[in-house]
Amino acid sequence: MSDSPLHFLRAGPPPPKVCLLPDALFFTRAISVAADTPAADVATQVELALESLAPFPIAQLYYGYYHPSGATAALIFAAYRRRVTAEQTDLWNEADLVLPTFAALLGAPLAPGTTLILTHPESLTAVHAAAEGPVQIFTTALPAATDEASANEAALAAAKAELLRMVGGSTTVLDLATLPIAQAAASDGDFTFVAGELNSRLPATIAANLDVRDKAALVARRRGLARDVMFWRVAVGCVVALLLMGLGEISLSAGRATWQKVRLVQLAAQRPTVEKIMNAQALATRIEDLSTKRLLPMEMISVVAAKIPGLIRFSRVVTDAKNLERVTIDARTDNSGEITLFKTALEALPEVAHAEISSQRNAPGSPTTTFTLTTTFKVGAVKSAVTTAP
Amino acid sequence: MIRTLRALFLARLFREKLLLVAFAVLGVVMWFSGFSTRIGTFWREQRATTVSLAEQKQWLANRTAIDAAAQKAAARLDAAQTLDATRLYAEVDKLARAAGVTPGLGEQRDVTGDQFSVHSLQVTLNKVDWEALKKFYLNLQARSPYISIEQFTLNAPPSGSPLSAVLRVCSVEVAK
Repeated sequence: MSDSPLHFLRAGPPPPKVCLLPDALFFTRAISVAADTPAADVATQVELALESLAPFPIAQLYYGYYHPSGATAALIFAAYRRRVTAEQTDLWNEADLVLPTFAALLGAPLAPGTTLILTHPESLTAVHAAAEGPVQIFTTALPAATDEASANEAALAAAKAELLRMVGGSTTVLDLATLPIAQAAASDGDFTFVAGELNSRLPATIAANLDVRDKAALVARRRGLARDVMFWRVAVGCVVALLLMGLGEISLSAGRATWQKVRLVQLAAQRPTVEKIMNAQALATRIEDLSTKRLLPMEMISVVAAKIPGLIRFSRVVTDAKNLERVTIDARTDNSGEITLFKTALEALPEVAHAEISSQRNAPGSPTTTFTLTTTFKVGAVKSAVTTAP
Repeated sequence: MIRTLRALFLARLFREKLLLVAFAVLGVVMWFSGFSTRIGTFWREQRATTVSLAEQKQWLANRTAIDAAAQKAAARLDAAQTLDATRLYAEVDKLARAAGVTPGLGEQRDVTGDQFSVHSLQVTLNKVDWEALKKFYLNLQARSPYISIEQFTLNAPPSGSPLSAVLRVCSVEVAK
């Protein structure tokens, strides 16, 4: 508890929780498997083999198998469920892997002829790497311990000698001082065991087949793990997003305080000069317009008025230098039929580009129609009535 | 380190994992909401600044040409004949009276530059007949381009006469 959080993080992940079961509970068999058999078919072949080999229905067995990819044989191991106590199975819920002790060493690189000896409190197990075919497993019970240590040692040595004799063909014997211990694996899902100087690495796919727990429960467990991994990825994604946003906030603040600020200062510094230039441009344009473009309202009125039919009267005329060629006239008439005639007459004039009637309406109970006439002249078509100053 | 955290996370109870993920997602959503607004604001600000700077750059680059154009425009006018605001007022009043109308003069506006200024003046003519109005108009046009008409509004009563007119006239003053 005194360790700092940093030290805890640096220490790496804890070793996986592994339940190593006594080897004596299991019987082992090797079955032939075609080299290119898919993994799912290997599982089916193992179940079929167990149904024929075991004296109990497969539902009453805890079993697993070892079949490295491409191997031509699989090592099957199974235990009668009633030989495993409820206290033992209660611990399995928390475990990442449940397998016989010898199975933990199946991933060790063993030269042909090598025999490993595992000493359990009540039994001995020999794992023998044969020259051909899968490893062979031999288990023998130890005689009951006595109060004399020398007698116990002698009995143990005799049992080992008998076991090796039973195995036969051992060129190298590794008598392991300790049972395998699970270590933190290099990658997720893999398992690594250490027994003395011997290392056994079990990849995730092989370790999954070694697990002896109920297969339906294992499937449910794997689904739960997949869901948890998804949660983990979401959480990691969120943390990454938070970090990126933190970085973004810092960049944003830095960008405002430095880059944008410099640009705003530049903008403000240049503004008076630019406004001066813009003003000069506007004035130059205006002077140019004053010299070359003149608003000729009276001339435009004269042109339009020349085509007025009898009863139409103007009430308001508006012209603006922003649109030199346009005159807008509000007018009224007691004969609405004249409006169209008026428009047609105007459009027939060579000076007129187009004429448009809008806002035509009658006051209730009155014969008078009011309307707006917008006449647009062709550019330069209306001539001034006076000559200008030099 | 990540694997240690991963192992720690996976070792939690399901509800704890759910809660952790929910808090993390909530945190991301809340922060992102504000962050995206700030990013958007900053983006619009910097975009507007970029556009403004580009416009300013263009104006500054064209400064010489604009000054030359202004000089050229000013050169078309005889500085002695240009009118300042006071002279415009007096000149318009004189032209109106010469046409036989009494003008209402008001609302002057001035746009001032380094080399020249533009002054404008609103002229209101009430109860004026067509011929007098036309005479005043022709007097104004005769002073073009030193005096010019910017806006012209003519109102006629239903009886057709007398008329009323509102004009905005302007003059250019070239700095001597």
